[in-house]
Amino acid sequence: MKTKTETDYPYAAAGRVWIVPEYKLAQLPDGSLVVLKAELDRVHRAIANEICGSSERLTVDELDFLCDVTATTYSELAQVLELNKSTLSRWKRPGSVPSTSTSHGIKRWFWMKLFGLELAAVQIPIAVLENDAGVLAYLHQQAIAEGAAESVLRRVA
Amino acid sequence: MTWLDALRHLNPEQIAVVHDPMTPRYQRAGVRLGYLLVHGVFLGHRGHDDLAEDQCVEVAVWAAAPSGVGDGYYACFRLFLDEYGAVEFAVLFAFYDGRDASPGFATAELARTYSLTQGFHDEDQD
Repeated sequence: MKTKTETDYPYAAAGRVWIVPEYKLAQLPDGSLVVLKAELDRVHRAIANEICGSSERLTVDELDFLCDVTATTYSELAQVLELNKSTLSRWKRPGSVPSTSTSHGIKRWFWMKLFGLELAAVQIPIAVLENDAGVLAYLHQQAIAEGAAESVLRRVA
Repeated sequence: MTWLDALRHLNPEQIAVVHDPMTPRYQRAGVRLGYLLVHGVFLGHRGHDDLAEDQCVEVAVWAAAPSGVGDGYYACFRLFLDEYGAVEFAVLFAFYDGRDASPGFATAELARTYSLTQGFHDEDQD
């Protein structure tokens, strides 16, 4: 299958546009272009790692993206968070998760779901454990350093 | 094995989303592809307009949104078959989620009713 590579490709996901350094398209025998799931998975892991590693409060668009790419329903997430599913649905109106600690907890859970098995051997320095934001930033860097996720940039509006 | 099972058993190099060029709706389809494969329910199948039945089959799939509220995800896949009738490649070629003027279906039954109007039929598959 022939491939075509787009550079600095603008990729809309999780409520914003990301700049993907290289985005590979495949050409089918009839000449039409497609993007393989393998390529989508690579891009989505990179974006998910950026979202989870950020100290900003999780938006509902980001939450929905993380649910989509990890095949997680609100019911499953509500069970993990020991919340009612309707509580999660109510976050849609303000557009973000209501507290920073909940946001960090959700990000850590999704990061573990995406990278936990692959990066199980990663050790976190005690100094990093001082705060949740530090842990998330460290995990984000480790995913890139260990090759589990690539780096993508958020496009500045 | 059903068509949906066959789709789920493909590896990530054997499933694709159309890029013609990639519109916002089909970027969303790409994001939701993995979710659809895990949570999707089979709505029906039909033949391809130009290819023989032993070469290609099209299936319609629907999944409730992760939140369980509002329109779910409706997708059609074109499954390309090898000489033994096994699925060797699949392309998501239609995706509706109630946005960008696309139809939206809040339940599997609504999605199934729509798929029937598009020529899909849900008789048991061998």
